[in-house]
Amino acid sequence: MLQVRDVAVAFNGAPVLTGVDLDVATGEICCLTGPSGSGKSTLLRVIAGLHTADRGSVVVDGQDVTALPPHRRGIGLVFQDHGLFPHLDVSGNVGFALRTRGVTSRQRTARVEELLGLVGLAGFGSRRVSTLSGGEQQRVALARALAGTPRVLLLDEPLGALDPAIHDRLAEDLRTLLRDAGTTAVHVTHDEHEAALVGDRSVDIRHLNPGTPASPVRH
Amino acid sequence: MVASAGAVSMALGVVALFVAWPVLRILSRGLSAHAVGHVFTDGRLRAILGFTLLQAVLSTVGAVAVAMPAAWLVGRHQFRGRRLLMAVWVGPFTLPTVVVGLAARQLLPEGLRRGLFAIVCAHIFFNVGIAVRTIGSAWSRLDPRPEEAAATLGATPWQVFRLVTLPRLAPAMAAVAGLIAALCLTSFGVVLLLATPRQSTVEVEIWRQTTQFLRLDRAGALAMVQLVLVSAALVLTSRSHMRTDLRQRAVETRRRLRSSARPVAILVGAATTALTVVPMMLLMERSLRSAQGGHGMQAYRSLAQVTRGSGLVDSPATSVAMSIRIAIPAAILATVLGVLAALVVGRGIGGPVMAAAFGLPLAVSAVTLGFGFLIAFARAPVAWRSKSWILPILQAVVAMPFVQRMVEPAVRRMDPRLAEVAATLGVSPLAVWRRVQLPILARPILSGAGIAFAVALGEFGATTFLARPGTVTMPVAIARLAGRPGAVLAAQSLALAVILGALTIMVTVMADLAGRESH
Repeated sequence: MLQVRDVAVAFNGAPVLTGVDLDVATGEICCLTGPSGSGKSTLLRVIAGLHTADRGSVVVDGQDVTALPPHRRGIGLVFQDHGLFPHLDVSGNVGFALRTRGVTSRQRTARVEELLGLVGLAGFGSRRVSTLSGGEQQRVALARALAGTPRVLLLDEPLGALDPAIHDRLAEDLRTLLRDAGTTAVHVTHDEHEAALVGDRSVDIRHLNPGTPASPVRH
Repeated sequence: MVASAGAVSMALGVVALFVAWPVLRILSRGLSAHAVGHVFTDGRLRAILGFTLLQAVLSTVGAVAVAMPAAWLVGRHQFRGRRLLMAVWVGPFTLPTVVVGLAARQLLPEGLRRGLFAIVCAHIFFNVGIAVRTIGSAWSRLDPRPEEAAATLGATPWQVFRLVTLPRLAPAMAAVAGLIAALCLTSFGVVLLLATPRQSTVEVEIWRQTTQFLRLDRAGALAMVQLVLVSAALVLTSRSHMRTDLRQRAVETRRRLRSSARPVAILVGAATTALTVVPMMLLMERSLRSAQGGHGMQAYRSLAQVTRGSGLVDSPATSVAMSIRIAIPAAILATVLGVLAALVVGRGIGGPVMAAAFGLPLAVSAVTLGFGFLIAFARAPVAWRSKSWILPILQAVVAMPFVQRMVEPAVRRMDPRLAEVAATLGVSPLAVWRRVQLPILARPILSGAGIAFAVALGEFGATTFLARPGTVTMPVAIARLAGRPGAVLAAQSLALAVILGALTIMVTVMADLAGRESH
């Protein structure tokens, strides 16, 4: 399970997070909502280890990971705009985590095929990521994160940039996928409807964040 | 049409007469004697070709490798003094090659002063700055998110660099490597001063075969080989450049230095600065040593005298005035030609044919050009090689690509509608040029003219073919003095090298300041 305690972050003196507590049970999909600029992405970056908080702690499965660099936390992150590796094909992207662990290329191929099938992209392995549609890129990013078998998976508005026509279908697919894998997940969205589709539970960050203005922050 | 047809044909005429014609003469020499075969069958010439490639590859790999930590420092981070630091690192690149060669010879330990190691060291010193600038600028435009994604997938910092950062920097690295390789293949002053008597490169051998063995056919064949080698390196550069352009993003991703990275950053900055600054400072110190021990201006004062056995008719001091007198008209002509080339190529007038025509001066090495002048302007009606006005033209052709490279980006950025709007307001084309376009291009042109002046001052490879007793320039005098035995001559060569180095750095800094605000 994931325990976030008293996390505070300020940018240039302006407080963004002011002592946030968050608990997510093992296997639970927790949706984090709130208007843009309310600190949702910052909280995810703190949990993943990409941003150092001014204070507070992050505990995963009883292990305090606050002082660990991102690559040793076992926490996956799916970025809003994918952050795919432009120089690698789809297989290269999905198999990346396995490659860093020294998994042989044959075992890698098998696992990559399996994951691509899971996200509905079977046979896409040799495609360049730049030739994929936004929805397809998002599926690749998801498969890539799942390949790392993270203890906790963080999703930063993964469906935000998608065409409304495919949005709901992908949201349902996402829920099924996370459920079947039994993944502990924090899913950030500003869309209440999407939160209801994907999550077991929905939390508004403004309720976790005492002392900040409840109105949307200008940006 | 701003670059009027007349002006463009004049520029083309100059390129045809002073670049294409010498190259044609070389080709006819090299081909008619079946000398090309010699290059590949003659054991000595084959060894020269091998050594040329070896030193170029080692120098290029060395310069890029040494540049990587510094490129990380300036590409990834924002800190005070960053621009100044980069300007200091590029400093050696603006130095004339004879100065670089002489500095290396002074500073390396006794047993290593000549040979492959010395040549590679000098080339790294010379090129590390442009490698840092090119790779660092590509690095600063790299989207940081793939790196962050890799870290959350469990990649260690080293794996992130190797698997995610390095592959995306590869096009920029290849582009600058091609440029450095072209420069090292055509390096003349450095190799001439630092090679052992048995070692030679294609560039140096063209000169030796011509001036010492009078084997013009072999020199011609070598010059043809050189043309092919340099063109290949330049093609690599421009191809890789196109790939980097596609991947460049307008975002700035530089961040403040994290305190944990600070010790490494300071170490990298200090080491790179030492590499680029210490050689020049030591050269200066050596030039101030006097024969009796201690320091003084003795060597500088001796420049006014004609020393026996120096191989110079006039005192070394006269070469300073001679260099400046030749470099001024050379810089003016190079600026006119370079601006015209930039206007024509930058607007895509005449398509790839024009681009190739104006690209020709870049592909012809300095020594090839000097050799070409020597054989192309030997007989009437073009028996011009001993005329006093031929040196400025020769240097202008060498400097012209530098002006073109400074001005062309500004031409490309210029909005063509400006001219159209002005034209619809009833303004004549000439007035449009004077009132609208010239002011926009003024800074890059001024900057390009300064660079052309610095290049002409330091030009050695081509000038050495045509310099005569009355027209000895500073680089030619330095090489002559350094090539002969005797403590007085050695001291004179150091003093003159310091003067030349200081002069070119001063001119380049001024040119850089003049061009600054256009960005």
